[in-house]
Amino acid sequence: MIRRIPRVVRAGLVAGIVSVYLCLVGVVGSLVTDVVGRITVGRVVLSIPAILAGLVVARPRVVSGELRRSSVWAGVSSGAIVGLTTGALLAVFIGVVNLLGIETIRNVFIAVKPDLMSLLTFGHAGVVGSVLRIVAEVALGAVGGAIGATPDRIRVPTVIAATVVISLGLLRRIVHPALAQLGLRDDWLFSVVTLGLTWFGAVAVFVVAFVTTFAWRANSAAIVARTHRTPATERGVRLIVLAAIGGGLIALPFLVGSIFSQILGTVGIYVLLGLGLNIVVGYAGLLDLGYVAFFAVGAYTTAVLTGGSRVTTTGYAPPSFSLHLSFFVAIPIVVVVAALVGLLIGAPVLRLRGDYLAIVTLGFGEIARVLFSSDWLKGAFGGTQGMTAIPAAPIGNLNFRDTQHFYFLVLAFCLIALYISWRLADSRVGRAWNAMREDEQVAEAVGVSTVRYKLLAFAMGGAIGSLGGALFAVQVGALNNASFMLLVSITALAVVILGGMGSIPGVIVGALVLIGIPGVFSEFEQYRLLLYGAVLMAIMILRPQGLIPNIRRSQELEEEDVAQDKWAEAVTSDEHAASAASPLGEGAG
Amino acid sequence: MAEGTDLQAPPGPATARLGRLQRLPLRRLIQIVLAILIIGFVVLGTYKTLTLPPDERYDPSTWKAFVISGVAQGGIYALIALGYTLVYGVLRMINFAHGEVFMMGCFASFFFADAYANSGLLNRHPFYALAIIFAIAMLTSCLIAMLLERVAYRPLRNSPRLVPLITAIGASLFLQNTAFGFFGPQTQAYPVPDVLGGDRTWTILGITMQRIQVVVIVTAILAVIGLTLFISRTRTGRSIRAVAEDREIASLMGIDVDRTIMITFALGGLLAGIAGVQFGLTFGQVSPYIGFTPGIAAFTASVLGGIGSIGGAALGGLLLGLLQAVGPPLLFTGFNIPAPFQLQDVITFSVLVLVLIFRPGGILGSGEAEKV
Amino acid sequence: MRHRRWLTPLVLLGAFAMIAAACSNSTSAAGGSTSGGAAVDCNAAPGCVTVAAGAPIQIGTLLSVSGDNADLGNDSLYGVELGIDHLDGVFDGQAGQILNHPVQLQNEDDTCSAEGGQAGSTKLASNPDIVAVIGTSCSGAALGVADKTLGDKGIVLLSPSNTNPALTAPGTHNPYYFRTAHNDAIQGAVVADFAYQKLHAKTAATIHDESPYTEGLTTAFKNSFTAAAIGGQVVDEESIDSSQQSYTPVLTKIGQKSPDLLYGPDYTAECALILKQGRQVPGLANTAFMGSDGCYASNFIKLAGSAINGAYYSSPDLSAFDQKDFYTNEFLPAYKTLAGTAPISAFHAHAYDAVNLLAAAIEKAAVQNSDGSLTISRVALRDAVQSTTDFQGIVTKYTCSDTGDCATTVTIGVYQAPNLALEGGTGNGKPIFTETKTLQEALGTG
Repeated sequence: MIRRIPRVVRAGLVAGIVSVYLCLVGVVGSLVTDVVGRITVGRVVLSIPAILAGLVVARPRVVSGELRRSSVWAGVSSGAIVGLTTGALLAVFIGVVNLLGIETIRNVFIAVKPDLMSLLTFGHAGVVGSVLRIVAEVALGAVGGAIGATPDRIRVPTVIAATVVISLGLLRRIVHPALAQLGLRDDWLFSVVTLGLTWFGAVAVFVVAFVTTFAWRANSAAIVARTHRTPATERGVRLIVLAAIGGGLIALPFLVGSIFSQILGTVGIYVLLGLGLNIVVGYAGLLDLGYVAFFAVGAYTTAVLTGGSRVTTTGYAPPSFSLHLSFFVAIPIVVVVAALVGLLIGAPVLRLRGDYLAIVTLGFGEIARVLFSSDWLKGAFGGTQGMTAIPAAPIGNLNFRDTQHFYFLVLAFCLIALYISWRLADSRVGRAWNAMREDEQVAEAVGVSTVRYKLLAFAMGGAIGSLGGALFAVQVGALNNASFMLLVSITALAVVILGGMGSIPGVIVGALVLIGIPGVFSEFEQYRLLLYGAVLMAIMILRPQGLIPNIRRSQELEEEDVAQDKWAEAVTSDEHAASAASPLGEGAG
Repeated sequence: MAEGTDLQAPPGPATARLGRLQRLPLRRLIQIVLAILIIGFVVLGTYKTLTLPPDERYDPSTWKAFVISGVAQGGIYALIALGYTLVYGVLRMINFAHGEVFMMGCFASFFFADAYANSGLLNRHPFYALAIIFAIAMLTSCLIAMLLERVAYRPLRNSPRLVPLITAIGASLFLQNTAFGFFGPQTQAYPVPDVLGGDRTWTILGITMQRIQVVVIVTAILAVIGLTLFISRTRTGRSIRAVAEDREIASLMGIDVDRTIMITFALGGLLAGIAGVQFGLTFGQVSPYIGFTPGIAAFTASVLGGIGSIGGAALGGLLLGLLQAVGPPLLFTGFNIPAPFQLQDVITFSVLVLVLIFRPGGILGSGEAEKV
Repeated sequence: MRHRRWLTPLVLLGAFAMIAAACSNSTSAAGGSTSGGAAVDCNAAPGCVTVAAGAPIQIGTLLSVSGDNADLGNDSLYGVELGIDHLDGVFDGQAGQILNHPVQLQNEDDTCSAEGGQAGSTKLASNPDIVAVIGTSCSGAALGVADKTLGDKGIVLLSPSNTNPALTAPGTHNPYYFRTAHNDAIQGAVVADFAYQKLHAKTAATIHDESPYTEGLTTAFKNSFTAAAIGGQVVDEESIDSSQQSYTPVLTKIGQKSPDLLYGPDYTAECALILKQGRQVPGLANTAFMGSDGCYASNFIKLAGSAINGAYYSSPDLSAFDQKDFYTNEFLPAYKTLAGTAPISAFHAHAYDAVNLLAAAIEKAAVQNSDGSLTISRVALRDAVQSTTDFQGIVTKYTCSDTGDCATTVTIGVYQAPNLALEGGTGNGKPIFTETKTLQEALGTG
């Protein structure tokens, strides 16, 4: 029965349900920073479902092997219908709330406040408000439909420009001081009253972004085609790109200031965790849900070895075992300890697969946290109060507690870990892991010792993860059990999954997205976990190979689908439609 | 690939046999050493605790209290574990979000229970009120479980095992924080009718337990019996077994696989809803976080008892409850470890590892290593 | 292999990064520039803050405004806002001024964790115009983290709700850290006195929930209870996991020893469970149950049910506030107008007092220049706060000690349920036992 409802209405229903959900969960009502003029983040979020649904409905599709595009007018009208359905659902919601009374509903759904309702109804009570909302949704849906039906060369710049405008509106706190430091006036851009963008500024930024993207897309292919690409030039180009990235990385903390450097530092720590977990999950195929154990081992071992103190009610006390080594002398010891712990964790789980492995490793993660904060080991690790006064890895008179210096420390470690991961992937060990991952029994039969390689995976993955923990200890300088919850393991797993299992650039992208974006857009901090959950689900359902897939893994996951997707993408893109080449030309395999 | 393998043995037909022999002892050796360590610790700890001087020793009534508490908690774990095991049997996937299904059922029923308590209905006609409360919880949990299946798991039916597991983790995070956003982080007081109040007890077979504890244990027993009968006697139960056995063949035999899987999730949801209300009545609290830890515990329980086996889930739940309540005092007091209950996870997972070493499928599971 | 080509640049990059780090200078300034002020030496670290004429004085807040402890943080934030409002002498919703400069807040979240404290304090420390910070909410965010980050930059950190004794322990206390909240050593000592004097308890057991606040309190209690003056014995120290709900085994184990007092200064949900399950344990039939203000939440009595009757709770004695009339007649109504509800945590008034204490210190330390600007030497500000003596706040008279405790004389009250000042409580909400203790006394006995 559900299938019979026209596609357009179905999209509208989904958008409507999502909109109501966003209202109920509190996102719309509580995000009250202004983005542009007086439009709050909440309002922007509320308009997204209708626009997206309109866009999806009006996009060119492949139906029975044939590419079907809609005209802009058709796109607008189908978008309008989507908006109508969404608006109807929202109107029903408003009606129900008005009928039962806000206070009654608020006893259950705490986010339903008068502010939210007036936002929905544009301040008008009764039927007028609902009608206004429906009209608004229709407009939004129509806009989405229009965007979806326009050719690529207009749609992509529009979406990108809109994203830039909204992001800029949220980043005032960072951009404004930077501009002020450069001596530039920015009151045309940022309103002093609302702390968001001015309308003029928003339009200006939009136009600039649109034109830039448009021009870039139109000409980039031509520019690239015009340069004669000999192997020598290729090499040269690559070196230049690499140097540019390198230079950028080094200059980054000075460009972005110390707050951002802090966020980058945390991103770097999760890159380390992700790289380590990537070895265990991505290369060796061992699902480890207790990765926080290595993080904790790294952190606490560093604290103990470099002279951190336990916290007691009478001040700081030395742990029962404590050295005052330099951080850089302690690191090799930390790595060795973590590798041993990896062997310890790996040994009991040698025969376990999949879900069993998951639950046991999860247990080990919890055990690690419990042990480090237990009263039993209070003398060694500080128990509940934890440890503090962890020295900040001094070299001479240089101190890494400063966020900009810390960034370089993290960068150095990340590069080392990247190098190790990259070399491992192509080595004999890496190939053995591939074999083990693809079919364990066959691997055994061919002579690959799964015992040895599983233990190796845990040891290496653990060693790299412990580096992340060591850096965390230096960054924050204090440890207690609140920092070592299961959430760390899940976040690390999400970083690896989102980026693409087994893919090194994927880990970096995953960390940037999952840690960097919430760090920068701190308005969303309270919904961070909700977003994690939604992102994990969406990625697994829509694109399980991750954002930057490792080719080999994605072949395992979706050989057919990957090929098919590439073909479909090629077929629906503008260049292809213009050249009317054969569908199998570009996209196969 | 040939150059990537161990080169210790000379090539030839002897390699295969020699290879397998070479590997087996190492893994086995490690596992046997581990098993000896764990069992040794258990025996030593138990001995030391039981031979403490009389003024430090636990007296029998204390042990009895530990056991009763463990069994009652195990009853709740068992009900949730049944849901895990049903889904696993059919889909070979762990529904990580099952704990949140349980929490949602508890929350939904809470609002009704609260309304009834305020109006006095809860104590005037407790049975009617409770019946409605249970029904609401079961309905909500059922719906959410089915929604999960339809939206998150069905598209991934044929994916490698890792994918639905991670989706389930994502779903768990999502549901938990949705409840957080909807209902707020505060712990709410779940109303308990006086009939089942904390100080009301029943004495069965000479053992005095709280009424609600009796209800939980009896429900768990009934659920196991009922579920076993359902699976073995009814037609739907047979189709569930068929789908669990081999999905392709079952669909070829004319069984509507989608519908059967949906029913399985619904069943698990029903049980989770019942567990939710019982949780609320036992502890008098509900919050968005109550699903997570019992979810993991029930997951552990079902693995312990043998995933895919109904009796195993119940046994695992019971065992886990006992391990959590009796384990720490039994094993750690003798060593004078302070705050032994902090380390209850150590016991739980060590026992789990021990069981999985010798019975990789769990206690009542298949005796052989799990096939990929 | 083509990939090898990446190797060299990568390694060079790593080396270069390390060299760059060594050669780079920190770009975050340690303090403002100097003006023509005579008596202040703004060239010495940590320098001064210059507030231009008409520009606002920037004060930071680092409180737990999200997550589980949002009530505590928001409570304090409202207290801070009320403090700024009242700078002009009236609660009128209009912010007041210090030395003819308006006050502007930069609010950061400490998420009640060390990372949160670190991140938030770094953000504040990188703003060279921040004069001082009011925070943190949770001790874990301050200890060795925020107090160090801000202290290194010479920014005064004044906490309205940190109670962990370690923060002001001699030898490890950060010279720029102060607090208007009481030191838990005081509350622990009062509880011990109550147990000894009123309950005639000789044995006690404690339960903490693995969070720094509760464990600090149980340790403080133990120190005082087992000291020579009382000579009690703590027969069992247990801990519970806040993510679980079945505490009967722990309580049964404690019941084995049948202590006279069970002290569980935990958070609301756990307090309720300890009560309900503890009352069922035969061994605890003659045990008195006691908790602290961490147990308080608006629905605590509902959560605990009838099991709460007869249990005791310690908290700062709100009815013993020095300026009771002002508090009841002016402060509370203004709070309700601002927040929409009555105050939830005990520290809203401490936050208000913190603002006023800080304002007084700023007035004392700032140098007013002829052009209308202010120069505030960070060291002078710190000294001004440190030298606060008998500063009359709502809660008490504040005199800051050498180690940062400003609430050195505190009245802690013990209340008995159901006579609690919470929803569902009966009676007049007055304590059955109060004691005013100084920090010296508390530490002397502890």
